[in-house]
Amino acid sequence: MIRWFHFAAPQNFFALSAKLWPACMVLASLLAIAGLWIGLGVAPVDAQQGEGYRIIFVHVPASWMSMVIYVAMAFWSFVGLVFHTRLSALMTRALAPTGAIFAFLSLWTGAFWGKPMWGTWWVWDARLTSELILFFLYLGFIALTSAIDDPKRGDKAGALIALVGSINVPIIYFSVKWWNTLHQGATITMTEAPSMAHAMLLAMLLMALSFWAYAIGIVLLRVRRLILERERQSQWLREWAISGNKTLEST
Amino acid sequence: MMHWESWQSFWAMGGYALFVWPSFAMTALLIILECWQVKSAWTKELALLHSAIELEQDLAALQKHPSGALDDGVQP
Repeated sequence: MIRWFHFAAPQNFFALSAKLWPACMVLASLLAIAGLWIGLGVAPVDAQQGEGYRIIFVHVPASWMSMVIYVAMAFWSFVGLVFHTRLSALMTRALAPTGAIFAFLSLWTGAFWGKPMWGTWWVWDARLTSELILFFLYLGFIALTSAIDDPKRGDKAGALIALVGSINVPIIYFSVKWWNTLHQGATITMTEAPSMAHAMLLAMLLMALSFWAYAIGIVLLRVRRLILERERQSQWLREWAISGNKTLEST
Repeated sequence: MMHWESWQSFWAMGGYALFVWPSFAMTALLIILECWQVKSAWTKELALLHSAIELEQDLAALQKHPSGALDDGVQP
């Protein structure tokens, strides 16, 4: 049995994340350099969309992350409500701003892709509207949790909005199948071989992995700040600070 | 291997420069801003923790040596 609950205690997680977040950032940078090099430098022109298709290399990874992060928030909310682990609510809170940024980037890059290809920045169709709702759910979560002074009550209210709002994620994902929409179908699916050139596919996967690593790195750093805030009174944190911010032994 | 013939053609993006570059620029900008914000919030929180500990240590010293620690020349 992996000691998952070991890391549910903030002091153990604090020690682990100290090493993990810089590693994630280095990885994210390397993957981004490779992904941008192949995506912007090497990948061939698209037969239908010309060079304009290259927006895909930020649009698709950002859109994926905006959905993945919301699912992660729902997951941590569920864990927090069921197991009462202290760390879960901090994870949910730390994920929200990064999710909001990716949702905004999905909408922004989508608009800049839609304008040359569809002739419009925005349409009120199922895919775009449900992604906009996702963005508002993130903003709602952030506003709600920061408006409630009592941290525990804020955690609980946030967990509820994260869980209820997660119904929107499959709606976004399947919207291109369920409704007629301007938006093209999924670029990558589980069941079919991708129709893209190898270099295009590789660049997109590298960018997606880079965004993953970045999201994990930045969220870990944000969780560390939230732990400092919440655990200010605790002995282990004081010992850590007095010892010159040295990493704790995770025993 | 390289797709482009010149830097000029790279920046022109086949006529899509005004759509491709704002997409990449906004992504880069928000990531940089987020990193800066999270990092500075961490630094501030850490400073708060250290000043709280210092205050406590001062208070502890005051309790141990009440006369010495309050040696500011004011007689009660």
